[in-house]
Order: sequence, then structure tokens, then C-alpha cells
Amino acid sequence: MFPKIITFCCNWCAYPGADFAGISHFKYPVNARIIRVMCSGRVDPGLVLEAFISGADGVMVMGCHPGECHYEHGNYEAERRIKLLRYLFDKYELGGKRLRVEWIAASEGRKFAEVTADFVETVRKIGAFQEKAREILEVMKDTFYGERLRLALGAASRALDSGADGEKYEETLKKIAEEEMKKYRVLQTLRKEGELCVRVVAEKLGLSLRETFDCFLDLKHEGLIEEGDIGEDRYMIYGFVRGER
Amino acid sequence: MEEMRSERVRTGVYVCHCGVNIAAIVDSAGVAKFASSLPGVVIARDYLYTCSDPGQEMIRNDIKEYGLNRVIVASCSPRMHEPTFRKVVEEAGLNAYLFEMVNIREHCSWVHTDKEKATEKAKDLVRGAVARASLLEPLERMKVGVIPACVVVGGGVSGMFAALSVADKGFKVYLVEKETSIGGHMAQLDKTFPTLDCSACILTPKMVDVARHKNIELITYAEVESVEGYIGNFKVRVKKKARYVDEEKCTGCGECAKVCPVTITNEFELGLSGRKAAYVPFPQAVPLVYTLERDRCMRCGLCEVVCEAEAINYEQRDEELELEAGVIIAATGYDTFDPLKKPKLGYKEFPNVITGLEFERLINSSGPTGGEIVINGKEPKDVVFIQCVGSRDKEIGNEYCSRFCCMYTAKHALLTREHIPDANITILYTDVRAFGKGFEEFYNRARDEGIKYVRKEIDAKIWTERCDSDRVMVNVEDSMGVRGFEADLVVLATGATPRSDAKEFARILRISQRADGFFMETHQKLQPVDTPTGGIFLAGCCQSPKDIPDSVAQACAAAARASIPLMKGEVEIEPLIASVDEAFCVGCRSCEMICAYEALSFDDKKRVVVVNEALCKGCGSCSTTCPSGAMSVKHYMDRQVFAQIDGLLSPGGIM
Repeated sequence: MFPKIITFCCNWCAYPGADFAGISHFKYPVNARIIRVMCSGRVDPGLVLEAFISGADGVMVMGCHPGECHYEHGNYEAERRIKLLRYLFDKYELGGKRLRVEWIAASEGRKFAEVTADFVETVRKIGAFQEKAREILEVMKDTFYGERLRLALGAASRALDSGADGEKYEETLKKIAEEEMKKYRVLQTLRKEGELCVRVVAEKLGLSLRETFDCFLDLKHEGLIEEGDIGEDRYMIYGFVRGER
Repeated sequence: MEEMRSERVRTGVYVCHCGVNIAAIVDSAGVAKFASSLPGVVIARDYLYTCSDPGQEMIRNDIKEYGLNRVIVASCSPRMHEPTFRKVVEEAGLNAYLFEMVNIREHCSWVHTDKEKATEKAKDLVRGAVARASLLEPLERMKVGVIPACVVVGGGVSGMFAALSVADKGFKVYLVEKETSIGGHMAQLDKTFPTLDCSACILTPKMVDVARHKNIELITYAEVESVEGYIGNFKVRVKKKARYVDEEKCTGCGECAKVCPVTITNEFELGLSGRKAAYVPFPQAVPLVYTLERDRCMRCGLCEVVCEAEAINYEQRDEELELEAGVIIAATGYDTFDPLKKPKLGYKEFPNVITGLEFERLINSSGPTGGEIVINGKEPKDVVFIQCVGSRDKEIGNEYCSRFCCMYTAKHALLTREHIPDANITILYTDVRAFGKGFEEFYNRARDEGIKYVRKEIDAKIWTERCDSDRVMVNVEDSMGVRGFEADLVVLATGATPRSDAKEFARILRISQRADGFFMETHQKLQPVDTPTGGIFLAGCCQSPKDIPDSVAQACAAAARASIPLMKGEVEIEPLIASVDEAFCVGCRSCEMICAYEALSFDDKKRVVVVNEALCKGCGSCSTTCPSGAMSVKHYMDRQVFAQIDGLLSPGGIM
């Protein structure tokens, strides 16, 4: 069945909203599969990416309306993370519209059905994933499970509460995410192909020597790769540390 | 836990037909057959009504016979029967959290029409549950004590009866009322349908009972500001506004009001008369304590001079109270529809046009006219009642029926007949809804008294215009044409709307509203006074419009439900909470910052974060935040959700 949709619903608003659609017999396309979580704030981008890697064509995260989260601010946490992931999807041409955050109240059965129908249509128009998508999705998963981005995302609500500029913060998150993406693409290349030197990796990934070298240094610093010999082209060869991650 | 993991998973899957609710669209037998081929599944059956007694018995027997250590029921929403089946597996010795439910009714058979595709979806959902269930872990519920007290919010007839019922069972009740007196809308009514009992005569003794009850602490002129905690242990912060009169000392003699030189609008009389800045809303107010409205007070000091009880206290300040209670009953009532939202009706434009509630005050012998119906200084002869004002009106967003206006209009008509025997009385109705006990008889009595019932269609256009110096013409236009009715008095049967602050109060209680704005119960039929937030119950019109008998019945129901945890003295708390893997915690404290409940704290000695199990609500935001993978939330761990995702989507994966 195409498109396959995974919908994460919070226990307090969206899931009862979907129940209410059922009780009212509001019809919607058969494509959506609902996963219940206690709060939309529990929806780690890692879970969303796992859904895409496992074959979903679109993922929706549904929570309580702003200001009505059963757990105060979980819905904002979800929105911030999915927005960032959406940005990366667009940047890597995976189609940001495959991802959507929606607020569904327990009484909004009709809205649940309408939004689901609309989303299924949107994803149908974007089409199926291309071959190369899986690799990028796995790099994204590494990025969102990586310490640096998680720390930055985790600090967001407190920073914003204490007066940080929201737009600036968003830009910073995007910058960190992009840097991390590069780093984990380098790691993925080494993991797949064994030992390689900086120049070869840079060419493979279409990155500059400088930024590739920075990625190597970061990965070495984190203990994920180690230095090897000097290659024939006089560039340092690095290898992936097995057994890590 | 290691031991558990090494034990082989033996899963039983039960696919329900729910009569034809599921089986008409989903091939339940086919889904069961499919399930039997899934890893770990040792028995899969389909059954007509799995929730029935024999259905439950079947599961209990299978657990023993096949040595099942996971049970999956594919039927209705877990919000409906998860507690039922958790109990079933527990009775057979299996941990309740090794049970998993699949929703193939609300999320499948009821919302799809293509049988084949719906059956495929049901199979996917079951496969997701089987995968997830194999990784579930047994969890123990925590027991916490229950503070033996109840907070009732709202002192109308519903709140009063809820308070009395809980208090009579021997528990402490805090009754918090926004106004200066309890009584609510019912105190404003003249007679009550269909018995024509005098409203005040039946209500005021109950108001006194509330005030005198040794277990009830009445907190009037006060509003709930915040609610923290959970079932058994709520902390309710209440702001008690300053009356500038000492409640303990005031004797209710009324000398202060007599000398007070300031006259302002009396809200209780809906502006039909005035009151002083030192006032009680009505003579039978409970508590009978005067209030000084300082915003309007001239600071003349006369009240202080005449008050022999020395109760006047200009220095009084608002008070912040913190109430501790195990349960909360919301009985916040309703607002009457504001007819200014339908300007063509001419309310406020013509003095002849009044609302139903204003009519109640007009015919009340203790009301502003002493019970005489007087409009423009004389007794009206032609009286027109317009039904469904603000009810059953999609245009203004109130699709629902307010349930009490048909009958109160019949009552108004009968009372008009009693006061003015030769009056020409017309009721413009949509449908007469006379569904309650004695209602049809009451309606017939109105017809027998010569009251003309004239039908208008539900979407009829209605407008009023001046027809001579002090009369108005009520015009009705629908498919039967345009009809006009001359009137000296027009009474609008205004319906009920949610309280203007219902949204804010729902947020404070963490409960939901229906699309129409009234508070949402857990299940309309089976849990009509419970809310999904444990320990919070609903009574009266805050849940939906209802008349006095229904309000009282529901209030007693809410009290009975709320008393269960109070009587048990302890409640079980869902163990779906955060847990820290200390080996992975790096002590960054990101989770501590994100937690809305201060449930996480840093252990200085161990250099790791620890979870306070009583405070954690299990939202899982900490798990989403943790950079090292140390934090997880029980029952919704990454690997459990991953397994469900893979199960839902396989066979598959990209490519």
C-alpha cells in the first residue's frame, strides 16, 4: 500500500480525537497507522526516522493544542524537533512535507479525519523515496541521537524561557544539525568502506577538504575513528573504530 | 529482568468481532489466522464479544493452558477496555503490563469501507502489537495514600448536592464558589417545571444545610487559580477575594447597606434593579455576609460607623489558600446565551424584549417588581415567547439543544396566564422537546390553558421592529412565508453556553472540552461523570446543559464516584514513569531542565540524575532530551516503539 503513514498520537488529545472520529464514523483513507504515546514530547526524531527507514512514506505527530498539553509543554518540544527535521528533509531533497505536526483536541474527530486525508494526498503527490534516501535517513538518525544536537535541543526551552531570540536559536539549531550531518556522513562513509583518507572522502561527499578535515578531527576527538598511516597521496588515512556505537 | 528476557515469549492474540461492529468490515477470523503465523504467537483466536464473560474466561484459561506470557486483544479503543483486559490477565497471574491492546474498531472498522484494505490494516496493527509486546516488561503499580478531602468547584445546585453527598459520607469538603453566595442560577429562578415548586423554597433550606454541615468548609467569593498534583494528592490554590467585611463577625443585619450612599446595578437581578456598594446579592444569601465593593465605594465610612459587630475592615486583603484534597469535582455551571449576538431580535434595543432569566426575576415576588409583570409601566396583553435563542443554531456555532428552554417557556407561559388571565400568549417553537418525567403532561397543560403554539422552522429568520409607540412586531420568515406577531412583551428562550472561562478552567484541571465548549467526560455512556484525568469528576451544566433533576442526579453520581478513592484510602498510580540507567547517565542535567514536574534531581554523590517516582507523570520528554541514552520511560522505551514501528510497516523498509 502506498503511501504508508505512521501517526504518533498523544494519549490525551490526539488519540481520543482519533477515537472520536471512529465513534462518529468519519471516514478517512486506510493508509494511516496510529502509534499511541503518552505525550507528543516523547516523539524523538529518532522514532520518526526509524519509521521512515522501516518504510513509512509520511509521518505525522499529533498532540494537544498549544497551551493545552497535558504535560505543560511537551507539544512545543515535539514541534521544535519536527520543524528542524523537516528543514533537513527539504535540504536533502527528501520532501519536508512528508512530516507534519498537527494539534488535535479530543473533540476534533472531524479534524483528525480531514487532516489525515489531506496528509495522505500530500505524501502521495511527493511520491516514494528514492534509493539514496536510506543512507541519508540513517545519517539523520545518527545526527538526532548525537550528543551535540540533543544537548542544543534540550537547552532550547530554557534558553527561550529566559529570553533568547527564538529565530536566532532556530538558526543555531539548523547550523548545528547541518554540521552534525556532515560529520555523520563522513562516519557513515568510513563505516561502509573501511579506511579512507581525507581527500577521497571529501570527493565522495562533495565537501571541501577543510570541512572534511574538521569532521575527521571531531570524530577522532569523540573516539569514533582513529588515525592510520599516511597514504600515497600524502593525506592521512582514517579508519572507523569497530565496536563503537 | 535478564531472566525475563531469556524466557521464551509465548503470545496469545484475540481478535474481536464486536458483533458486527468490527466483523462487518474487518475479517476478524482472517486476522486471527494471520496472527497465528507471527513470531512468538502460540494461540490466536477470533471471538464474537471478547469483553463478555465467556470471552474473558477464554483468555484466562488460555493463559494457564498455553503458558502465555503476553496477551494481545484486538478490539476497541484501549481507552474503553484496556483496564478490563488488564484485570483479566492479572486474574490469571500475568502482569498487567504484559497486555497490549490493538484498536481495530475506532481506528479501523468504523472509519474505513474497503473490507480488504481494512483487514490488511488490522493485520498490520496486530503485527505491530505482537512485535511490541515481545519487548514489554512487567511493571508494578505504585500505591499512594489519598488525602480524605474533596474540593468542589462551583456552588450552584450541582455543586451543593455533590458537596452534601461527599460530606454525608464523612469526608471533608471544600466548596469553592466564585460569587458572594452559593445558589447559582437556581437561586434566580421563580418556579421550577414541571411541578411549579417555588425555586427558593426548595433551594434555600439546602443552602443552609451546606453552610451548617460540619464537614463542609464554604469558601465563597473565591476562585481556583491552579491545581497541582494527581489523584489522591491534589494541591488546589484558591484566591479568596477581600470582602472588606469580617465573615466571622458579620451578623447580616444589613445596617451597612441601609446607610451606603452608592447605588449600582444588581447583577443578581440582571440589572433590573439596583443595589448598594455594601450588599448581599439576595436576602436568602448563604453565607449571609455582606460584601463591600471597594471599586465603587465612596470611602464615606458610614458603614463602619453603623456596624455594631465591628465587622467592616477596610484593610482586608485578598487571601491565597492552598487546599489539599484527594479528589476534585467540577460543577462550574453555564452562562446564559447573550442575545446581543443575534442583534435582529432587538434585545436591549426595545425594552419589550427580555430574556428568559430576566422574566424569572420579573415574576418573582422578591424580584424588582414584587412579582408584577410590568413593561413600559403597564401590564402586557400580547406576549410572544421565542424558543431556541442561541440553541440549535449552527450559524452562531451552538448546534446543541439546551434541553431546558422548551419546558421553562411552557412554565413562563403558564405563569403569565396565572398573572394576566386575559393575556394573548404565543410561543414560537421549533420542536417541543418534552422528554422528561412529567414534561409531556406539563406541555399539554400549557396548551389546555389556551397558549398558542406556532411552529417556526429551525432556520427561520426572526426580527423585531417597533410597530407603534410602545409595542413591537415579531416577524418570522421561513418556507411558510412571512408572519408577524404584535407584542407588548417578547421573551427570548435563551439557551445555555459554556462558561466564558471554561477553556481556562479546563487548562487548570487538565481536562478536555467538547467542540461545543462543555467539559468532556471519559465515556458518554459508561463513565459520564469521570474525566480522563484521574480524580477529577464533573457535575451539572459544565458537562452539558441539563435541568435541575438531571443536575442533582449527576451531582450525586459524581459524589459517589469521587468517594471511591476517598473510601479506599489509597490509589494505584500507573507505573509508566521515567527511569535512569545510571551506567549511561553523564550528569548533564538536560532532563532536569526539561521536566515540568521537578521529578528529576541531581544526586551529588553519585553524579547522576534520579527520578522521584511520585512526581513523575511519564510524559517522556526527558527521554527525548537525554543526550546519552540513559533516560527512558517505562512501557514506551525506544526499543519497544521501534519494534512496533517495524511491525506496523513490515514487510518493507525502503526498497
